Amino acid sequence: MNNLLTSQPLTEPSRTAGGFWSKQPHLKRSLLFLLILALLLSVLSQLSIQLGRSQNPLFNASARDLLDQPKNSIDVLVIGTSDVYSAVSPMEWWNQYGYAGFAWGEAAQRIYETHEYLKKIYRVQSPKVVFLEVGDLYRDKTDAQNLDSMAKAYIADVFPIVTYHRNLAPERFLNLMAKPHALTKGYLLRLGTVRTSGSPDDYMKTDDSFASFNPLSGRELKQCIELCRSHGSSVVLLSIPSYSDWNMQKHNSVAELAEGEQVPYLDLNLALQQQINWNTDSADGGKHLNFRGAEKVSNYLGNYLRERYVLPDHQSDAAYSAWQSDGQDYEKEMNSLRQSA
Amino acid sequence: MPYNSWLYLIFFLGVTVLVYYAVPLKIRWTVLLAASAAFYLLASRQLILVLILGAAVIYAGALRIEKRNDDYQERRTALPKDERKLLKEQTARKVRHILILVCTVALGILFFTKYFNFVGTNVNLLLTKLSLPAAVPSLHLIMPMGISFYTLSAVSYLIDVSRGTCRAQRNFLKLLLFLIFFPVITEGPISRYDQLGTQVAEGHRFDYVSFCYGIQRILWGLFQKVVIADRLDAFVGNIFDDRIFYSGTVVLAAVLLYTLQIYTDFAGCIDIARGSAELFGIRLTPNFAQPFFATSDNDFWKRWHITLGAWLRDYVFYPISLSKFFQALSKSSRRHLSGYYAATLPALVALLAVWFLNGVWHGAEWKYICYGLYYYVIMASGMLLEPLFARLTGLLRLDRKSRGFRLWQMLRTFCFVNVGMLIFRADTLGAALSMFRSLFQPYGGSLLAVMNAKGLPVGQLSIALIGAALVFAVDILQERGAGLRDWIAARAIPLRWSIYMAAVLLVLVAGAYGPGFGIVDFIYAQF
Repeated sequence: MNNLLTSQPLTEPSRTAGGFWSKQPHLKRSLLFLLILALLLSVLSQLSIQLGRSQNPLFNASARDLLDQPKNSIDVLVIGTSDVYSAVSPMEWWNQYGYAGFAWGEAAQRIYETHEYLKKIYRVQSPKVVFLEVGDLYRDKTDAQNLDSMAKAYIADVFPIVTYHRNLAPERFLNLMAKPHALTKGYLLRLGTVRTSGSPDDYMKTDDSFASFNPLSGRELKQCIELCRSHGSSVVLLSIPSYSDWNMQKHNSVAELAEGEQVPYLDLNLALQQQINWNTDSADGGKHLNFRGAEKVSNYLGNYLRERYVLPDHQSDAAYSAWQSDGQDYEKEMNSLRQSA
Repeated sequence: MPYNSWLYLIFFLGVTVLVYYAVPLKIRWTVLLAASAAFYLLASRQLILVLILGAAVIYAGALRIEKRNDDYQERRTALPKDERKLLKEQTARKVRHILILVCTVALGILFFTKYFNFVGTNVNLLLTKLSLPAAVPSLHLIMPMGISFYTLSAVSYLIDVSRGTCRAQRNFLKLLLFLIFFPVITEGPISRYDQLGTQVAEGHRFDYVSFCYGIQRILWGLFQKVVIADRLDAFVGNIFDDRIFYSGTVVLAAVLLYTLQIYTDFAGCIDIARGSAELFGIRLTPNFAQPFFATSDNDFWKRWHITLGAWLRDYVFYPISLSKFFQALSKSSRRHLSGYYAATLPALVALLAVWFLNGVWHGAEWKYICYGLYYYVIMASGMLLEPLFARLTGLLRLDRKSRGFRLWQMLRTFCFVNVGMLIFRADTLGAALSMFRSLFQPYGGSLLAVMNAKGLPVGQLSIALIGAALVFAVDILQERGAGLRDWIAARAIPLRWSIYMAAVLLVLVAGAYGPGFGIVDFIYAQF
């Protein structure tokens, strides 16, 4: 049988004189192979991140653009799943209060990825307030699923291609030209409207029972809280309105965890229950919010920040001149959108 | 822990390989046992106790059977002919009793966890028809993962020991390892003790070629599962779930793509399992041999899920064929019928049991029983009509060995297989019949528009079809006996490494995983 790399098996190393490496030809070549593969994956990882950006700054909602922001320039961070990029528009806070915020949301982001991303973010930013969106708490039900998500988070930290592989599509190659300009600070403008088919009476129906989440997921969330605290951030657990993904049982469980960890829990499903119109404010039939719903969520969060935290108003800060023009551009676009909607 | 998860591929397999080759040769099997236990615990937690208890009974039973057989062998030479015969009969009877008792325990666990509620529901239905109150309670039962594969391996081990084709394992933990070996516990291949039991129990030295071949096989399995099978799941599921809205080309596409999905899903899983075992120097029995080149349904089942077919042949068909009842039936058949039918009709009786069990093994539902019987009807019809076919082809001067005729046979078998897959995938037998009828009613809309709306836009479909073309190209090469892995291994490093890297990137980049794709469990893992 042909040998793959050399004619000698690893178990019978060459007996000729020489060092360790010359006696381990398979090991040497295997390591070289892995090194080349790792380099290739690193290059493709960067490419996949770049291709995820949009040429249109209004739709450039790449979470990773946060890492390119000037060091320690972000005061408020919202981090979580697709609900975050669909519903939280930090530019609303900027235009109203001069708060510098960023929405880090990724589709189906797991709590383990949130943890890894937080570590990365704290290397370049020191947000004063962190909203930990908890929609991902219920995704991994079994221990095996949790451990798998943990494994994926570690791998994706080294090779982001495993998260962004779908960006490597031919139609996205034009995005190579896109400038990494985060006009919306992580927010993805979702223009479409799909009515929610369910009855409004079923949404957040009173229920005293609990929807248990896997203990490993809970433990990871607690570690995220601890990490934020150790960096001096105030933590708020956050649930974003979702007709299909949230209910009172989940609310009760998260509220219990929040109480145990002594962190505030802001469930916008309850806080905005009367304001969100599931016929007009959802982009996909009740799962995610569209721009109308996002405006309501962002305004509520902005007001929440103003009432509870002392955050700097950077509007007259020269270091934030880029934010000034972004804020104007954003407002202009949104105004025309509001008029046409 | 699915075989295509990050946890399994990078961490579980990686750590197990490192520890396996780091410990002394003599105790390497313990690493596999610990890994298999951890694998099972993670998936089914305390249900591992069911398997351990079952293994204990099987272990004791096999030793007892072997002791009886050994006693007979020891004593027989010293005995006169009559006493020897008597002792032989006594031993055979006692062995049979032990075998029946232990197999009842092994099969009982399977029956209780997998079939109790199905039987109960049907008994209650029957009682209701007879105006009697329901008598069998419905239990909330959780089936231990891989119980069907475990049971078949256990039963084959017991029978093999009783037949003397293998020696009973004296170390309980080594027997347990054979029964719960992590690469095979989820979807097989269904292993025989003489093939796998000895391999897992002995330590293997690191073999670079075997190791690299293992990684290649895992990559190939991942390609089939992640790039092709999982990509098709959403569309197939949507059409089968909403079948009442579709007909004609849409249903046909769903059936054909389901056949492609289940093939790449199952064969992909088996390749990952075989590749995983190869990392430890262990070779598992192949479970597929280019099934879509089969020229008959019988041939198909010799190429598809080979180890199940072989198990049913060795432990159901042969015992029935050699039984006293069957011998009497054959004799009677020979007296009353002409040559061909004298041999065929008794075989059909034995085959009925085989195909009924084939269907039942797949699941506790009528549709699975019908799935098995569907193949029985086709096969039996083929066998009964064979003289007529032979005469017809003779009259028409058709060469049954020509390439054209073989192609026709393949196409015919492919059609039969797809109807079988329709029964297999549909929610119920009624749904399968309704979908089969709708195949012949034209669909008014555009197939591509439906695909686009139901989870398989043109771009995704193209990737799946290109992947399928690659799978069938490899099947063609293997059908012709080409050793693809040896060919790749013989290339110069630049080309060889390029192929390996392309394979890794293909799975990573074109894989249907992450946002936008659902998590799709291996289809056969539920059996």
